[in-house]
Amino acid sequence: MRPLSLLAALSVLLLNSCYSPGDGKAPPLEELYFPTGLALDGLAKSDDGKGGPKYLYVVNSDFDLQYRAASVISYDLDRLREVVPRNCNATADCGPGGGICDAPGVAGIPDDPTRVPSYFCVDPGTTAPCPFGERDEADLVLTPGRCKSIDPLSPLKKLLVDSVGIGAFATDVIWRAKPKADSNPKADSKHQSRLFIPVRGDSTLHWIDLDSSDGYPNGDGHFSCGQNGSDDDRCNEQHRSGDSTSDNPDQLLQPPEPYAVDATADGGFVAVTNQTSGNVSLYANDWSDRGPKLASILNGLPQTPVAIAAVPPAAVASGELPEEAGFLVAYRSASQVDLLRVHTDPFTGPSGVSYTRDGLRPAGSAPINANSLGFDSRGIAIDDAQRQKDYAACRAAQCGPPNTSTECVTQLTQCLRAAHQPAVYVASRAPASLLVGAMTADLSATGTNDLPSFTDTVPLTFGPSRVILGEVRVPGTADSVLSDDAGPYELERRVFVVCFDSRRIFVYDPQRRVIDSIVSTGRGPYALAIDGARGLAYLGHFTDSYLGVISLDQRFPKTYATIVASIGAPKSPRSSK
Amino acid sequence: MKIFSRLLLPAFDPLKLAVLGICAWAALLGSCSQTPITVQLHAMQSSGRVSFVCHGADNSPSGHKLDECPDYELATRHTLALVTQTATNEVAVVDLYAQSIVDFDKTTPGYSFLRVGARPGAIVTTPGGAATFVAVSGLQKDGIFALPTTCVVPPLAGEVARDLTTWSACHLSSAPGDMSVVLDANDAQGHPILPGQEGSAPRVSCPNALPLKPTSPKLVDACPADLTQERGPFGRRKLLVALPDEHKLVLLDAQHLLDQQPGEFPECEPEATFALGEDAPTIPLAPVLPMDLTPAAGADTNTCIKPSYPARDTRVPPTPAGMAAMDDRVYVADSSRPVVHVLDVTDPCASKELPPLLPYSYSAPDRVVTTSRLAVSPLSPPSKKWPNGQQFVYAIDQDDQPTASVMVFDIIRMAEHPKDANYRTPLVFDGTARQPYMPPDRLRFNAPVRDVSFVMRDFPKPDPVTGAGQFGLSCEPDPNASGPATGYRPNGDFTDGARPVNLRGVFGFAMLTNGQVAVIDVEDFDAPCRRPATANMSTAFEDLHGCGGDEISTPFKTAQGALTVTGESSCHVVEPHRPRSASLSISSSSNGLRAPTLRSFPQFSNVNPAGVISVDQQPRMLATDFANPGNTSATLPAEVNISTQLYAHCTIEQLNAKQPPCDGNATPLVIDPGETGVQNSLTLPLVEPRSYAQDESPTLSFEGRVFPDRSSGFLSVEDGVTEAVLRDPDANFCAAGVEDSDTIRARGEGLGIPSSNLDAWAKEHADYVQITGDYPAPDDQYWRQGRGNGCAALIDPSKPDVDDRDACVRKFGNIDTPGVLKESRDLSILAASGGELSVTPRHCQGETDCAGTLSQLSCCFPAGTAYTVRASNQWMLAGTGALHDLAIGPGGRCTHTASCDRRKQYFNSRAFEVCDPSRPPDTHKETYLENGVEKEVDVTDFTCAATEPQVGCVGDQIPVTPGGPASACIFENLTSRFVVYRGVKPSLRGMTFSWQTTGGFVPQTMSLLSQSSSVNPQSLGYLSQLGYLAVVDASTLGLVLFDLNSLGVVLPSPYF
Repeated sequence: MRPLSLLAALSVLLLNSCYSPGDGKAPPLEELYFPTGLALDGLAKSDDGKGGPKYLYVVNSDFDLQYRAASVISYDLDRLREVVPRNCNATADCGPGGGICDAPGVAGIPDDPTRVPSYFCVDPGTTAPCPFGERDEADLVLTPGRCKSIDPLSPLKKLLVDSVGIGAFATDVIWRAKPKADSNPKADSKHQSRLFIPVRGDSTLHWIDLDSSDGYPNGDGHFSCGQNGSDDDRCNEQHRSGDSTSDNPDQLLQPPEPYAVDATADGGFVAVTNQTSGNVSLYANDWSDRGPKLASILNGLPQTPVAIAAVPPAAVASGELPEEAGFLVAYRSASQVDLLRVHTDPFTGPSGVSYTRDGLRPAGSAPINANSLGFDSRGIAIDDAQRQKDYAACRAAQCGPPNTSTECVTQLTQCLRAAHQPAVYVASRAPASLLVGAMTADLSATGTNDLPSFTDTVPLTFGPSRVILGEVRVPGTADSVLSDDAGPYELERRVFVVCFDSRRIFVYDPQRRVIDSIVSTGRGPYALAIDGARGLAYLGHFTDSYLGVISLDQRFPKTYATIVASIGAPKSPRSSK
Repeated sequence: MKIFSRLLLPAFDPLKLAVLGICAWAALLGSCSQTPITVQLHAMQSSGRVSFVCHGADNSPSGHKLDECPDYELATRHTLALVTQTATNEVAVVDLYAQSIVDFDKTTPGYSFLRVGARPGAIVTTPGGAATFVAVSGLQKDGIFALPTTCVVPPLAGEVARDLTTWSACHLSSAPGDMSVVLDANDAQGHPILPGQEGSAPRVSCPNALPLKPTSPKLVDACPADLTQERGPFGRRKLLVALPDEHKLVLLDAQHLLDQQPGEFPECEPEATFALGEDAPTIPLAPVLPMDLTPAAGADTNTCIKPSYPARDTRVPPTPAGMAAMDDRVYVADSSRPVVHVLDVTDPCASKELPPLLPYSYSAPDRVVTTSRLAVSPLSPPSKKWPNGQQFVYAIDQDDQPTASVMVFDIIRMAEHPKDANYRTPLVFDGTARQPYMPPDRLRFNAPVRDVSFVMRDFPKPDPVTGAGQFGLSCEPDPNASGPATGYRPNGDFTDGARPVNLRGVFGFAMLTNGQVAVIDVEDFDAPCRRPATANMSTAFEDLHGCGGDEISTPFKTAQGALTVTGESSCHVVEPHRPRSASLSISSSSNGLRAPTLRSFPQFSNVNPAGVISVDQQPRMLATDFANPGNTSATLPAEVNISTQLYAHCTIEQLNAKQPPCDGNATPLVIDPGETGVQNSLTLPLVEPRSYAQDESPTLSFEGRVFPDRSSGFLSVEDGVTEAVLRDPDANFCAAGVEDSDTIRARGEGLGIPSSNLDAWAKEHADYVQITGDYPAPDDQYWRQGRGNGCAALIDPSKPDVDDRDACVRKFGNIDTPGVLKESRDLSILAASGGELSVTPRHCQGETDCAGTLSQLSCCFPAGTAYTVRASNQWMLAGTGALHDLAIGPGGRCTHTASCDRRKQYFNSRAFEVCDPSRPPDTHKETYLENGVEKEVDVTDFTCAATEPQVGCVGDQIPVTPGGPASACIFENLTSRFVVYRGVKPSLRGMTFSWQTTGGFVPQTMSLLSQSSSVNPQSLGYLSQLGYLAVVDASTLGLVLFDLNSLGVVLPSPYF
C-alpha cells in the first residue's frame, strides 16, 4: 500500500474509532432518523385508566453519519391514540360521539361505488378516513398505510414530549423500572425507571433516567441524563458507562460494537453483546445515581453474538436456592444458544473494604439442530407468561403462611417444578425461520436447566431479524373482563418476527402453532413495540426513518395486521435519493 | 437456467419458444459484456402440503384414480401434484409427467397458480380424482375451497382465467385444521350397501342432519365435477374436517360443496358434528414392558417403582390436529389433550368414537403428551410370526425434549386386548437397553420430527413352478428350505435380494425439520436373511452376535458353501420401529468397514514425563474371552475385527473344531499380559450395532476426567472445618456421572471388597475435584484490598509479608502444564448432589492440616474458579460409549439407578485394575536415625492383596477369565470389553489407552440437503403408483420426489 493511501486509511480508521460529540453537525433531536430501538414505559400509564403505557421511547441511530450524534425521543401515546384512526365494522363500534364507520352501507357514508371503505371511524361531516389526507397511491408501495403521516411536532396534537442527544449508532433500547421494595441502600436514585442504550459510536452503554413530576409520579416522559442544553443536548459523560477504566474495579472497557442488550426484570444486571467479537459485557446496575457499571466481560464465546435475552428466574418453594441471573445468547456464526450466568461474589476484605465481584460465566449450551443449517440467529425471546400463571395457580392451591408444613412445601415444590417451561423463540436466517422451543425440563430443584430445546421451526420469508412478544385483541364473550365501545375482547399471546429484508412482520400464534397473519410494512422494518392494551403496535422503519402504527385488534378483520397510521414523514436515505 | 429447462419440456408452446428466443438473444448479448450471473428463480413460496391428482384428457378431464396414471402409451393422463402456497394463498400445480410447474397465466411475469381465498392448510383429493379440497384460514376467511380436476390445468382458448371466482367454496365458523375424505356407503335407511348391489345408491345426506340448502344451477359451470360418477371405492364422498378452536370435527358433503355457486362464500352446512369426547382413563396405567426392562431380580422394591402412567386431567378441551385414515378408522391427533382419538367411520353420519390411544412418555410419565401429526400403516400380510398381520399408528409427540419424537401404537395388540387400556399406551420396545441413544418408547432423531408416513411395497418374485408371485413373502434363510421365499436371499455380491436399499415390506418415514427423511424398519420382509451366518438354537440366551432361538444349528450356508443370509455382524441389524441401517453390517475388503471394527490395536501413552516407563512395565489393556452360558466349563473365544482382519483367541480344541471364528480364517489374538510382545486389545460386543456411533475415538485414562473443565466452581469454606462445599448450580454433577464415597462404595461391594475394607476402599476410589484455574491477575485488587491480602499468612504464618499471589503459586503450583498439576489442588468428594460437592483435601494429614489447606485454597482461588472432577485410582473411559447410571436420588444425592432403571444396565465407564499377587510389593526407601545412626528401610506403598485399599481385583489367575478369580474386574459396556492389568509400576494420572472404532450404525436417510442447504420441509406424501415419496419444502425446494427404489431424488425434481 502506498504511504498516502495508508495515511488516508489510518485517518479514516481513527475518525471512526474516536467519536467526538463536539465534531460535525448537531442532529435534529426531534426528528426520527434511522430508528433502531423502541421501548414502552411500563410504569407511566395512560390517562384513560385502561392500563396502556403512556410513553413510547424511540432511539435514533444517525446511521449515515450525517450528524455528529443521535437522539432519543419520547412520544405521548395518549395523544397519539387521539389521531390514529379508530377501527370499526359498524358505527356502533365508534361509540358515542366517535363518528360513523366508513364501511359499505353505513348511513352517512356516500354511496359511491368508487369509494374504498377504510373501516375507520370518520367524522360524519367530512367522511374523510384520514384527518391529514390520504397518501398518494404511488407511495403505498414503499409506505403502506392509507393515511398521510402524522406530524409528531404538530402544534395541535404535539406527540413529542422530550428528546435528548446520545452518541451515534445506537442499536437498541430497553426500559426497566426500579424495583419497589428494593432494600439496597445504594439504590438512591430518585427516578423510578431508566433506559439503557448500547451505542456503537463510542462503545458505551448510555443510561437515561426518566423524570417524574406532579401529577405524573410514575414518569412524565422527560429525560434526565445530565443533558447540557447545547444544540445537541446530549447526555453527559456520567450517563455513559463502559468507556472509563476508572469506574469499575477491574479496569474494564466496553469492547467495540456493542449491539444487543437485555436486562434482568429488576434491572439489576444489564448484558450487552459485542457484535464483532465473541464476548458479552455485564453491567451491574444498583439503581444509584451513579448508573450501571461495567462489571465483567466474558470472552471466548463464538463470534458475533447478536441476540440476548434475560432468563426469567424459576421459583422454588423453600427459597433456599439463591436465584442467579442468567442470559441466553444466540449467534450469527454458531448454531447454538448459550446460557450465561451471573455469579455474584460479595466480599469484605480484612481492611474493612467491601466490594462485590459480579462475573458472567458460561453455564451451558444448547445446539440449534431443528434447522438444516442452524447458525445465523438474529433475535431471541423468552416467554414466561404461562409459567407465571402456573406458579400463581400452585401458590393459590397449595400452601403458604400459616400453612408451611413440610408436606405442604413438598407439594408446592412438586407443583412448581411441574409448571410449564418458558417458551423460547429464535429468529434464524439459515433458513429463514422462527425456531420454537422451551426451556428443558430436568430433575433439578427448579425443574428446569434454563437451556432451550427446539421442537419446531416455522418457515418465514427472508431476512428475519427480531423476535418480540406481545398480545393482540381477539373477540371476547359476555364473560370477558375487557371491553370498549366495540364490545368485549380478550388478549392473546403472539410472537412477532420482524423480517427486515422482506418487509414483513410475521405474527405467530403459539397456542395454535400457526402463523396468524403477515403484516406488510414499509422499507426496513426493525424495532417493534407492542401496545397490547391499545391493540396497536409501533414499528420503526429504519430505512425511511418513520414509525408505523399497526392495528392488532382482530375484532376488525379488515384492518387487523395492517398499518393504520404513521408518525413522521418517510425520508429515503441519502444514498437512494 | 431452471426456467430454461422448464421451457424446453415436452409441452411445446409457441409463446414459450418466443420467450426462449429472446432470452437466448439476451444471454448472447450478455455474454459479450460480462460474466453472466445465474439466478435461481423460485416459482413456489412457502409450500405447505401436497395432494396428487390423475388428470386426463382421453375420455374425461374430470380426473381418474391415481393408479390410472400415468398413461405411458398415449400420454393423455398426467399425474399432477397440487402443492399449497401458504405465503401467496395459492395452490401450485406440478405436472409430474411433463416434469414442469404449470403456469396458469402466461401473460404475467413469473408463475401464476390457483388462487384460493386465504392461507391454505390441509389439502385432500377424492379417491377417484374428481376434485381436490383445500382448507383455508384467515380472519373471516375460514373455509373450504373445492378445486374440480377439470380446472386444475390452464384454461384453454376461450375459457375464463382461473381465479377466486372459479371455485366453489364455503365458509366455516372457525379455522379448519386437518381434513380427510371418508366414504358413506349406506342407503337412505342407514343400511350398508355392498359394492355392486343393484339398484342401490348411497344416501345423499345424513339422515339426522338439517336438510342441505338446495343449490341453484351454476351460472357458468366451467369446472364440472360429479363425485357420484367418479371411479374408486364405493360410497358418497364426505369431508371430515377438524375445527380445532371449536374442539370438534364436522362432516361436509363434498358434492354439495362442489355444487355451490362459484365465487360465492356461503356458510358450510355440516351434516354431523363430533365433539371428540372419549377421554383417557381416569385411573393410572402401566406400560407393557419387555423382559429386558423389568426391574432386576433382587432390586430394592422400595425405590424401584414399576413405571406408572398417572391419570390425566380430562377437563382440558380436545383440540383436533393431524388426521390419518385407513379403511373404516380415522385417527385424530390432539394438540391439547393427551389422547389420539379413534373414530369408526363405517357410518360417517354416525361416526363412533372408540377408546382412544393414550400417549404417554416412559421417560417422563408425568408429562402431558400431546400430538401433532400421525400416520397409520397398512395391515401387513399374515405371516408365520404375525398370523393377523401387523398395523401401527405413528404419532408425533410434538413437545418432547430435546426434539419432537414419534410414538408407536400397536393396533393389532390393542385389538387382542380390548379391555386392557395399558395396551393403548405407546409400544415399549425390546432391546432398548442396548440402544442408549433412543428412548424405549420413542423414535427420536437429531432434529424434531415434522411428519410421518408409511409405505408397504413388494416386488414379488415369480414362483419357478407356477410363475405367479406372492405379495408379502418373507425371505427364507434355512439352507434346507425351498420354494419362492428362498428367492429373496442375497446373492454373492449383494446386488439382489436382502440388502439395505431393498425396501420390501412395511416401512415408516420420519421427516425431520432439518431436511432429513429417516427410513424406519416396521416389517422388513427380508429381515430373516439379514443376520450372521452362525446359528444359535438356544432360546435362553443370545450369543455374542445377539442371535438366539434359531431353528437350525448349522451355519446358514448351502451344501456348496454359499451363504443363505447376508452374514452381517448381528442378528439385530433389522429391528422393528428402529431406523434402518444404511449399509450391510459387514467389514470386508469388498464391503468396507461397516461392522463395528477396530482400526488398530489400542495405543498406550503417558503425558506425565515423570512417569516414563518401559513397555514391559506398562499397564495392559487386553481382550478377554466371553462366557459360554451353554457350557460354564468352557469359554467362547474373544474375537474382534481389526480393519478387515478378524482376530480371535482360540484354544487348540476350538481350532480343531473349526467352528467360526476358529475356523482358520482368524489371526491369533493374545490376551495373556505375561506373554512377550502382547499387544493391547479389546473386543467389541456385536449384539446391537446401534450401540455404536459411526466413528469413535475412545480413550481410557487413569484417573481421567469425568467432565471437561468448568469455570464456575465456588468454594465455600468455613474456618476450622475439614470439609468444604464446591457450588456450581448448573453443573448437574449427577448427570455428569460424579461418584462420591457412597456410590463408589457400591462398586466396591460389586467387586467383592471385604466389608471391613470398604470405607478405606471408597475413600481411595471416590472421585476428586481438581482445581484447574489460575489465580487472579497480579494487579487484581483482590491481592491489595480483598482477602487475597492475607493468603501468604495463611500458607506460611511465619512469612506473612511474602507476595500473596507468589505464596499461592508456590503452594498450589501454576497451570503452565495443565496435564501435570500439583496434587495439592485435589479435593476428594465426600458427597455429590445436583449442584454441590462436599469435598475435603485429598492429600492432607489430620484435621489441622486439612482445615488449613481448605482455607488456603479458598484464599488463593476466590470467586468462580475453573475445575474438573477426576476418577480416583481407576481407569475412566471417555467417548460416546462412556455412559453411566448415576442420577439425582430422592434425597438430592447422586445415586446408582441401573438396578431400577434397566435401560442403564449396560452403562459403565469405569475400569478397575487387576493386579498380580505374584509380583513383589511396591516399595520406596526411607531413612531414619536409630541411635544416631542413619538407617534405610523399605516402605511398602502397595501390595496386591484384598486388604489393600487401592486394589481393584486381585488376579489369582491371569489372564482373567469369565467366572474365574478377578472376573468382577472385566470391564464390559455396550461398546467395549476388556481387562486392565496393573503394570510393574503404579499407574499414574494421565496414562491413556486410545483406540478408534468404525463401522458403527449409520441410519438410512434421504436428504434434501443434497439439493439445498437451506430447507424447511413441511409435509410428506406417498405416490404409490410411481413409488415416489414426496417432500414439500417451504424454504427453497418446493416439491422434492424421492425414488424408493434408489432412495435418491427423482430428477428433474425438486420443482420450485
